[in-house]
Amino acid sequence: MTLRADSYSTTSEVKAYTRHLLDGQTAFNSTTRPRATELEKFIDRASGVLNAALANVGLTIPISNTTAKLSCDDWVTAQSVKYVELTQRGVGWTEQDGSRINVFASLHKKALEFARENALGFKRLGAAVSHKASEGLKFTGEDATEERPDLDDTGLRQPIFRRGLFEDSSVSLVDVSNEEDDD
Amino acid sequence: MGYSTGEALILTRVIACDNFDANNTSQANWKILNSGASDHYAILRPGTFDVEFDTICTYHINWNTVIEVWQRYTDETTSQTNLYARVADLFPIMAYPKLGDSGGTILEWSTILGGEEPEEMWIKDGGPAWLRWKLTLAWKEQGEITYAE
Repeated sequence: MTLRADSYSTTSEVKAYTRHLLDGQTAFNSTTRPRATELEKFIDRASGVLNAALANVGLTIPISNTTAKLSCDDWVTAQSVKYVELTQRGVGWTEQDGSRINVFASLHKKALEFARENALGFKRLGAAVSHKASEGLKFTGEDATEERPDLDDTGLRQPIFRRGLFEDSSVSLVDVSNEEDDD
Repeated sequence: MGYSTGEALILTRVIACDNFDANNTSQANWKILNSGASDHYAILRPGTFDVEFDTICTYHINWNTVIEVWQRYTDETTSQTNLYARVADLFPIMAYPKLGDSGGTILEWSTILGGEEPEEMWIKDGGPAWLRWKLTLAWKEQGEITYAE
C-alpha cells in the first residue's frame, strides 16, 4: 500500500517522532506496532479530514503550493503521530475522564479550525482557490436580468421573480397563477 | 581499577550474550529506551558495595552491579515470556567469574547473585509500557593499601 496522491506528510516524517516505537526495526513495517499499512491509513485519513476542511473554505485540494503544503504536512504529521501513540497498549488512559478519546473527538473541528485560520494565508501564498468567498454575491455584478443572454435558455432554471416583473406588461397575473398550478 | 572499569567488563560480557549488542545495552543511560533500537534493553548501574579487609594492608571490595533488563510491553503473553528469555540470555555471564579481566584485579568470584521481582513500568500517559527485571551481579575487586601515616 502507498499513500494516496492527495495525502500530506509521509511515513518518514511520522517516524521521526515515533522512532522509540520501532523496537529494533529501521522503519514501520509488518512487524511493528502499528504496521506500515496501518500508519499509511492514519496519514490518509487525517489528510482526508484536512482536505475536506480545506475544501470547505474554498481552496483547491490537495494543496500544491509548496509553502502551504508544508503547513498541511505538519498538521497531518502531528495528527498521525497521535494515532501512532494511541496504538500503544494503554497509552492515553490517564486519570482524566475520556483522555484517550479526546484525541479523536474533535478531529474534524480541529481540521476546520486549521483551515479557517490558514485560508487567507494560503490564498496569499498563491494556493489555488476553487470557490471564492465572493461566489455567492456574483449576481450583483451581472447584467440586469432582462439583459442577460441566457434568459430564454430553458436548460437553466430561471427566477420566477425578477426586477421589474410587475411593471412588465408582457407578464399577466394569470400567467403567474398558472405557473403555480403547474407546480 | 575502580567500579567503572569493572562495569565496563560486565558490559562487554552482556554484549556477548545472545540478543544483546551495543545498541541495546548501556551504562546508566536510560535514554536508550527511547531509541527504538530494540524491544529489550540491558542497562547497567551500580548497586551497593562494602569493603572487607583480608590483611592489614590488603582488602577487597564487594561490588554489586545491577543489570536492569527492560522489555517493551506490547501484549499480555509474549512480552512476559520475552522478558524471561532475555534474562535467561544473561546467565552465560556466570561462565566468566573474572569477567574477562586479564589483570588479576577482579577476584575469581563474580556471579549473578539474584534478582528482584519483575515489575511493570508505567509512563505518565498510562501503560504498562515496559516490564523490568533487575538482576544483581556481584564481583570482588582486590586492593592494597600503602599507608601514608
